[in-house]
Amino acid sequence: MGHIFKLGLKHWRSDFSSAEMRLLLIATLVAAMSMTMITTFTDRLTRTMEYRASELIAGDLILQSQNSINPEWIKEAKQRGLNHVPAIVFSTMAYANDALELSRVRAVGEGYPLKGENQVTDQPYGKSQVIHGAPAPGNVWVDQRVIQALNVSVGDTIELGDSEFLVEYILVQDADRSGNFYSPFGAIMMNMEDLEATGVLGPGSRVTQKQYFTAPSNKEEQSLSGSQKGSAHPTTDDKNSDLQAVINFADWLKPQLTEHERLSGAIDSDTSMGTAVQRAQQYLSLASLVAVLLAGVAIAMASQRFSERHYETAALLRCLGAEQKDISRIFILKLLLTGLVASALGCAIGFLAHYGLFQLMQGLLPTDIMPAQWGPVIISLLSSLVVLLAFAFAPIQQLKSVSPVRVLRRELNPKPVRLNVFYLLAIFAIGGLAYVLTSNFKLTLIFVVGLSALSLLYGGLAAGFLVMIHRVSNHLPRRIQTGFNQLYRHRYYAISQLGAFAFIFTAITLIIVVRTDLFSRWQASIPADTPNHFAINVLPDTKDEFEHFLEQKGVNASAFYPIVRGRLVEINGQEVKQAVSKEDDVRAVQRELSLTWSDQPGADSEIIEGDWWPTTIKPNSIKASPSIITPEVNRVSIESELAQKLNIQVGDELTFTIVGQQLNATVHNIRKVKWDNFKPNFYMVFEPGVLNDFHHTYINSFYLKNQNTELLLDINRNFKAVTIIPTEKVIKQVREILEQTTVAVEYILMLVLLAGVVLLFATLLSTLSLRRHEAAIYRTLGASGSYIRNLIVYEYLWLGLLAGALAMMSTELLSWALYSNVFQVDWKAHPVLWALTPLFAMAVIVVSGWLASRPVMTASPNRLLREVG
Amino acid sequence: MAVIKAENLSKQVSLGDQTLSILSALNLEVNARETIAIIGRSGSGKSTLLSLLAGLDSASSGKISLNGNELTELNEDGRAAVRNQHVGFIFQSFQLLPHLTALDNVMLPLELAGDKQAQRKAEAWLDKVGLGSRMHHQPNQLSGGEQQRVAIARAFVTEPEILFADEPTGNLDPTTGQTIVDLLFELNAEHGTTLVLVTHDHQLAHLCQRYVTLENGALFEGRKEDPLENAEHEPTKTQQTPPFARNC
Ligand SMILES: Nc1ncnc2c1ncn2[C@@H]1O[C@H](COP(=O)(O)OP(=O)(O)OP(=O)(O)O)[C@@H](O)[C@H]1O
Ligand SMILES: [Mg+2]
Repeated sequence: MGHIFKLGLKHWRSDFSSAEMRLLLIATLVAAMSMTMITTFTDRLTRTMEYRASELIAGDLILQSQNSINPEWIKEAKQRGLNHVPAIVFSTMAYANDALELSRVRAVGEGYPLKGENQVTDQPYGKSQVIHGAPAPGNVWVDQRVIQALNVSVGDTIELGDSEFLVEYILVQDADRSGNFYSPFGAIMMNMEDLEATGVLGPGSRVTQKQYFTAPSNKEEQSLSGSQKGSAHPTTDDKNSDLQAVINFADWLKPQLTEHERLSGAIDSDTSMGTAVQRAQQYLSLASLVAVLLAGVAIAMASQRFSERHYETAALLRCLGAEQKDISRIFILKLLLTGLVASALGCAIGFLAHYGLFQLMQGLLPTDIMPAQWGPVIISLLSSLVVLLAFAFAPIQQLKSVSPVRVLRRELNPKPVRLNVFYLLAIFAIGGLAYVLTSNFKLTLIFVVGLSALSLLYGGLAAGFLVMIHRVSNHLPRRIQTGFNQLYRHRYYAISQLGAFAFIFTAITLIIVVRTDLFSRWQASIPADTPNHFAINVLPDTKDEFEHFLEQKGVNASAFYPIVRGRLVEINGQEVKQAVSKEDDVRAVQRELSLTWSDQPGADSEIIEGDWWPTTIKPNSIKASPSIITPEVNRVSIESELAQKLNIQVGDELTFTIVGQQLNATVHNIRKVKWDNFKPNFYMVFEPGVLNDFHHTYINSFYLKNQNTELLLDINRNFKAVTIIPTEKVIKQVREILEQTTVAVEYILMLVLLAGVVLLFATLLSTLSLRRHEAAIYRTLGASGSYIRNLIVYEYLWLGLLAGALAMMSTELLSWALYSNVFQVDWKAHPVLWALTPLFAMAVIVVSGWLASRPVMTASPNRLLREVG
Repeated sequence: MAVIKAENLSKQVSLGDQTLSILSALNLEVNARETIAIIGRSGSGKSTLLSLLAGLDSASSGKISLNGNELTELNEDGRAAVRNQHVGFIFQSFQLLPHLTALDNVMLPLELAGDKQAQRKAEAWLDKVGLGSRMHHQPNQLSGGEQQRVAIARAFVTEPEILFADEPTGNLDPTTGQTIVDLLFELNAEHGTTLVLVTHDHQLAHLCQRYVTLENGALFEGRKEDPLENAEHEPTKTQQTPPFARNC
């Protein structure tokens, strides 16, 4: 055993400079490099984006409770090194200038907000500024609505319960944006220290206790910001935060929650931010998957070649008395050593390259990028090793079975390995890696099942193509025919090469197609005139006037939606809380919902089950809403994700409570909603008339080009009750994330392309010695250089055409599967692709094939034959 | 005492739906320290016979015993062990591993056996074949004759009882061929090795104590008519190297 190991080591060292070893080395290196680069980059970028998204809710994790929060949990969080800060939210009357306003008060603890920042201004609709920390004791920040309702301005005082407070700022944006946009109440932020003195919280008051948690952060930075506004506030750019600690804590906490508590994370899919981050992640993981795949194919090609080039060696070793297992050991050792060197080198280069990537994208990316972690590097290292071993195993097994008689009869080749157990293992290995890389089961499944099915198909299709064309090849022009015959003669190699090329082009075109489709669609979802203001609390009797006003000012506004506040309490007579399992975090059932009615499903939503109610009333029915007759049955349309979470089907009976009254309605259809369109979206839409008996206000959204303070103040003067909520900041952030990922994706696309081209060369080189031998014989027999050149060019043209055709078909299939199952976008055929893929493949293969086989065309036959031996 | 004993040896290979019978019910006995030449037309099955006798391949039927080991009762790995301990090989195309130095090539069989003295022994043998100064050269830096010397050193380094040589001079010019043959026979005599030599070369065959002719799958003792004279000029059926590379 020991001596075999030594022998293997020695041979490996002396083999190191051989062409086939270099090919294997380069393939593995490229694989490791692209995996490391992509995974490290993606990992850092994703964590940065998650981090930035979590800025939007003032923490990484929010725990909410209707009771007081278990102190043991806080202790546990502290022990885990998490930062935490409490807040209490309740409703109370604010009083000033003889006016009263029911307001949502958020009393926050020292350190709020842990993430993100509050935005304030000192004049109505003035330029907003970022402010660190929270109001100092004795001060409050109130929103525009309170300012209007109480007719106060900055510097005035207002009363809350028994205490008086100085209005320090107008609150433009609370760091915690998880709340409802459409809240009909004013918002006030105060310091928790003042809470007791106000005496507003009696034993029976309804309050929501909140705890915000963030990952452990850097202490130095904390102390740096401690000087600001008297509150110890960890800066938002603590680069060492470790989201994992938060996730672990959440996992620990979840099983202990009661029905009164709710835990929510930084990224929920029903926000624009959540959708943006999710999509970017999905795309980047697709890219890394493709990198692994290309690596796999390259390594499979390279190790097949490696094995073929070692038949002689294996035969001689056998002849000199090596046992079969010795052969396996020697070659597996060689492979492992090669793999280790190549992957280590590749990982190192890839790691350095990812810095270059960030460097290149400076200015487009946020300056505080999360630090690199070892995880992705180690995963890449192991992945490339696993891929190497998985794919090289079958060819190595082949070496074991080389007959020793081969020393006497060179043409005795071992049986070629076709699809066997080892390749199945390789597919499993790739699948496992894919799952590790994407943690998306569906994506992995589509990839692995799709690609193994395709690879089976490739063989069959390629063979089919060859046979079919062979039948008709007599009718082809002579040169083209000669090229085809050449390919046909090499069909054993041609089929495997075709498969490899088809894989490479599938990978490349798929990445391009998905990128183009996703990003154009995504970009289209936030057009330049995306509504950046919401108007809420538009009273029914001023609605027409307000609408007219906006029209007059030339403002591009959305339709008005009536809003009635209510809670979903029962499903088919069963209490909702029992119907929902504890783990399911269904926000909609715990908070008040904005209920609306409409005779249209809404332009951006799609009915996926049931049908819309007929428009029995005149088109502008909403305007005339009070006069709509109450229908006999109450019908409601429900949003699809909520329906799924609550397991609600068409025909189910829902019970709502609206200001103490009960209302039953039958689910008439299920609607898919685009949450990221910045227009009013609703979980529940009723048939017009159902909500006639309830008090309602209106909401709409509109787009203002610049910060149009004049207009906003105008609205303020004319429509006292209306509150305007600017959403510009969120839109900007979503756009930024979109831009960042687009650039990242572009670079990664380049990398995948680069990997593809390298692998293309590897594949071409794999039959180079065969071609050399042939060319030498042709030359000896008197063929001119240009004859050989033509032969090669036309053969490669055929190869490109067929590979392109295969790639085109599989790209369409895969993109269809991915769109409908993972990305949730509509699939359309890509006719441009049909034309371009084969052309592209032909061009690339001919040019690189030409470069690779140039020595064959120029060298003297004597030299060639000597080389061939 | 017979070190090689083949009884009723036959070999068929299947080519698609046909079977080609190369050897049929062949018998051969070779005594210890004997030198024997196997001659025959190209394509008569000499290399096939050699591969069976040396345990490189398995016979379709019949028995072979090599130095007391029943080859036909052993599996591949068993035969590999026999080859490693008792057998040395010399081939027409040298069969050196291209990326290894001369020394490493000679050490190879010893290393496979786990011999701790591999390097010392290999160096000694390279010295003996006159390549003491070329030990660290790779095959492509050596001439054909030098490569064959390395192969001879490799064949003797394990001190085998039996040596098989298939056309050892086939790729060499006559003068070089002659020196190689001289070296081979000298070393063989010195070490009392049994030598089985396959050749076209009339003279070479005469250097052996005994020769047999292979024809139609069977062996004939001595020269039958004079096949060697003709064989030289017939086109070879199974060529291992391009025609001009073979120096006749
Ligand atoms: N594995 C095999 N498959 C097919 N045919 C074989 C096989 N082994 C040997 N043959 C055939 O058997 C015959 C004998 O071959 P062999 O190599 O033993 O001849 P040879 O006497 O050594 O010829 P040469 O003097 O040219 O080396 C040839 O016709 C060869 O084609
Ligand atoms: Mg022969």
